[in-house]
Amino acid sequence: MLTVAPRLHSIAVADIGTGTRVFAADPVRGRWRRLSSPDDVLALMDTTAEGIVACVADAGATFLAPIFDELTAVVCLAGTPQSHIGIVSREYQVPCVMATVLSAEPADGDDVEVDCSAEPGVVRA
Amino acid sequence: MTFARADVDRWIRYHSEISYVLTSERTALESALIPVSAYILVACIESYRRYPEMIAAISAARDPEELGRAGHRFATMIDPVHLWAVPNFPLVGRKVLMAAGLVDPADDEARLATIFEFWSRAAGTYRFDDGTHQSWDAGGVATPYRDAVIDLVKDCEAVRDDAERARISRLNALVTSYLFLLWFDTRSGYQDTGPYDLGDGRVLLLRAYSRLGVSHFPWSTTIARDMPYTDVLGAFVLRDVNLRVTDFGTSVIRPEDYWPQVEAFAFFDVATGDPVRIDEAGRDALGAAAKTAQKQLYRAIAAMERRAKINAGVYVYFTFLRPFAELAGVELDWTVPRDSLDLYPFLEQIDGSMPSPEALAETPETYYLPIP
Repeated sequence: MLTVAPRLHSIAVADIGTGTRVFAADPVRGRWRRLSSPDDVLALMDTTAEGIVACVADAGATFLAPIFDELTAVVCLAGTPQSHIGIVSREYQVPCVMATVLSAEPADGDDVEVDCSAEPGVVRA
Repeated sequence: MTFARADVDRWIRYHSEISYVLTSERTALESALIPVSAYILVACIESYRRYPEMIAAISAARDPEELGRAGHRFATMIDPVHLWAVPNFPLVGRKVLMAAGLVDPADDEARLATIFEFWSRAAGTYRFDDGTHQSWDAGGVATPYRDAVIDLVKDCEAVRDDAERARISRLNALVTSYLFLLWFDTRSGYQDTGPYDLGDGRVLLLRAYSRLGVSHFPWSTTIARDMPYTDVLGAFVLRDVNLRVTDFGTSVIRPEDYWPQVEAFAFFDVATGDPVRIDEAGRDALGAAAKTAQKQLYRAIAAMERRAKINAGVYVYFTFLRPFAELAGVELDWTVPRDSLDLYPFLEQIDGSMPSPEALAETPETYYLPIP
């Protein structure tokens, strides 16, 4: 059982998931968006992905490729920091949590926080 | 064939233990864009069935030792992951074929003997005949460009401020991400080597960005034609870090976010083999071209049918042996799929999003099984 130590954050939120952070980073806030198909990514590529916390099932590097640099954070439900998506997030310095276990999934557009300031990485909503 | 059964068994066990750890550290590799697991299995079966004959042709044209030493020159693509792939792709294919009862023990020994002999001789000279064969054996050290370090560091410039640091890291990320896409979600387009110890607490990380432009990949002919450079080397001088590289050619650095530790840097055009420093305008052009090409390629891949994606990925994987053949001057048939058609209808259905129970039950000793 993983125990998460309480941390300070400015808005009252609840922890809804934990996973392995790719690198240490201050908490960031953005709008939750579950991305499932290339069409989801293409839609953001044609508008903007800024302010988005992308939730993805798989740990490949290519799925988010054209929007990665605009994302606020990535929540991946599989993989490790050495998975391809972890490597790319490190290079872009986009906070990323791997193998995230969610107790509840936010709706698209919900405001969420991704906190990689300590291990494990935490998702809050 | 000079390798005896005992040699073959020893190398199976060696690769089993190392690759078990490497793949468990990486774990999931599926992409919602590209069916990675399916294409890997097809390519690895092709590799098991075809690499021995191809390797024999390459060895006949040029000694494996020479090919290993060629990796000390820039832009040859004789690098950690291409060397790792030579034995490991066939061994992964063999896992599938063994499960299907399609491996003949006598034939198996002969195939693996050819592969292991070639690989061990090339990997040995790549690592300067120091008794090791992989970064793993040396605790995460691979320094093929050690003879060039002094000149490369001389050409590095100090990072002026955080704004410049951000531009460098963004350029690196854009090119890395573009290469993952160009190479169909493999990490073989960019390869880290190091740590090159500079003394006084500093180390050099060298990152090769390979085949950025038009290459033998059919999809590169249109989307990569405007890339200003084809082969680039990034040099990053880091202070106070613990740097190790894996046999996938990936660096593992503590702290994980190493950019604040970068004191000096340079990017070099290494297409001719001689490093030529790329100035700021050239770096800006490279980043912009990578961003544009990446968007075009993403649209192109997204529009492909699943089978076309699989076949493209199979080609990327299967041609990991191609740099060795090109250096040896050997023309080979790279057509795929060719020798996996009996299993292709099954393999193309595989979705590797979740690990199989069988995979979870593997151990370092059984990741690759001995000869039956």
